[in-house]
Amino acid sequence: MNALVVNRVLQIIPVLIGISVITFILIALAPGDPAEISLRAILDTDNPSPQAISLMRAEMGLDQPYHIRYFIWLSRVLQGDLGYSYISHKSTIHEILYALPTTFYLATLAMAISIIVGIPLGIAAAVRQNGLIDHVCRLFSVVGNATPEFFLAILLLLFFSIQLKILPVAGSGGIQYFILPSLVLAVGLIAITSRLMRTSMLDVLEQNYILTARSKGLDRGTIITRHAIKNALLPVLTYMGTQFGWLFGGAVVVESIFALPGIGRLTVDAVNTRDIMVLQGCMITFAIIFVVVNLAVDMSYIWLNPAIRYDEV
Amino acid sequence: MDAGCVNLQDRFPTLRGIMDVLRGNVTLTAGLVIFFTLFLITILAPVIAPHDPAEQDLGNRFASPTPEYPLGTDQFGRCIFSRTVYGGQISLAIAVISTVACVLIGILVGMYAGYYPRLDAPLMRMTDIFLAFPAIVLALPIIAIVGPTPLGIILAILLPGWAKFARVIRSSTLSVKSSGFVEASKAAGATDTHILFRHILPNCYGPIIEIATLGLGSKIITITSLGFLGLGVQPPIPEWGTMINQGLTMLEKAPMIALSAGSMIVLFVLATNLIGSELRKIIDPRSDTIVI
Repeated sequence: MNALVVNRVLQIIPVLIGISVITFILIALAPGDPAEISLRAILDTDNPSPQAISLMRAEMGLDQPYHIRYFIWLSRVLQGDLGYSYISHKSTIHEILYALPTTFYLATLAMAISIIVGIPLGIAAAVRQNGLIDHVCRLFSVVGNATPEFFLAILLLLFFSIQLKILPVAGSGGIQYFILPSLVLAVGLIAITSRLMRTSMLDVLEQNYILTARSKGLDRGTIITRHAIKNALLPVLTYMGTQFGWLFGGAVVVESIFALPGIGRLTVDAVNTRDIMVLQGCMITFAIIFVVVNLAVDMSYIWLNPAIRYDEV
Repeated sequence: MDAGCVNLQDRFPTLRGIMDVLRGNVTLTAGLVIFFTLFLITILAPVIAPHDPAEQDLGNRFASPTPEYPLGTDQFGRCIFSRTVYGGQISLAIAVISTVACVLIGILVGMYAGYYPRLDAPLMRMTDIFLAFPAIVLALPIIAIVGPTPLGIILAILLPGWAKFARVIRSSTLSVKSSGFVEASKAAGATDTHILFRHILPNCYGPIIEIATLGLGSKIITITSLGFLGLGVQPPIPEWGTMINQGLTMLEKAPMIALSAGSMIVLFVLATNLIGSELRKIIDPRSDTIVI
């Protein structure tokens, strides 16, 4: 098991290197001279002198060949130097750390909603297979999966903010600004979670230990709550763990609609304003969150269930 | 034939065979009907649409639905119905092109990784890297570099998109590779290329069609998301995502702009999901698809 853990941790090294290479290539391809852009930010002027620019180019290593530039860039990134925003003139790290809590809050709320709604829905659907709830659950998952977040957001806005006028359209502040965005993010995940929970429950209900429990004369309610749910929950919860990173991707669109100042909106704004330094910081942040979340999920899976075949992970 | 892998060519040999499958499967039929109807509407847009999508009627802004304007008009007095019908053209074209490109790259990477054990680890680690970003996070910088043009959007979808295909095709390759007919072909002296493209690839058609259909739907979502964020094909070209973006600010006055374009997206993705999950059941009857 220790070998498994070490192996799994070592696996993220090539992935992290790859992420850094892709980010570097995209930034190197981006239009605009990074030296000039940085100077504008540092000196707070629109027209830095050509001498200053050429000095800055040398200092940033931009006159070097690409492979050397990569290592210069990488060592700066590893020291936490992601450059300065072309627009706000603040350091990229500062912008990202300021935006991250909003996105974390949003993703956590969405995750909580999906667990609270999706898991009971899946259990109910499995307990009465082909019953009413099962059909509702299936319909919900099919439609929920086919609805893009931005369209769902519009439907909810039309209903809650424009018709009923009980929730704000956009902005940030208290929890009322997070209700619609997290609901929008949660729907896609509920669709998947309820299906997964249903399948997992049906699987478990066919197992021999359920048959044993039934032959002992236990009533159906006890079998389901005491034996089935616990066992069916594990694969669903681990799967949901991997989706936490996916929620961050969804946050890109959702934060833009509801004007929440999270990292998703920061990314879109950076693209719109060609703010390359912030964009690279956001890309690296997204990728690291994704990698760390997946690592944590795999670890918990190994920890909870040592019998798994590792090459299946 | 290997038991674990159904060859779709064997399953759908004739028109009658296809009809038999469809008759027994309402979901698949419904999915296909919606799918092809939307494609036809989009292709025949010049015939169906009552107005030119860019034609402005400024004296008739925010009009309610009338026989002349079946869904009313938008802020420039343009016909919402015509814009919705035309709005699929560019999105569907981009979705089809980028899906085909993803499939081709996925086939190459997936088959070689599955067939040659030596290539497996490096190719799959490379795939992992592209799967380490949410698709939209990799798409946005491409748009920032290339610009919001059709080519930029295709690249923005292709770069994160091929990896999932490579994964699926690799695992199909692995399961086909060990079958008897591959061994026999090897014993008969066939080259690796011959085995890969004549024996393994045809046996992967089922999973490929399945993920390509599902992929078409998820690509429509990415394309329209980019349009919605203002990073897709630029106005005045009608595009579903861009229409919803414009409709968002006028939700109270003219909800039809966003609702009509949004319904088209939902219908299209719904159709691809239904087709994909039914194909999955035909290919592997024991599975219960989770459409992602």
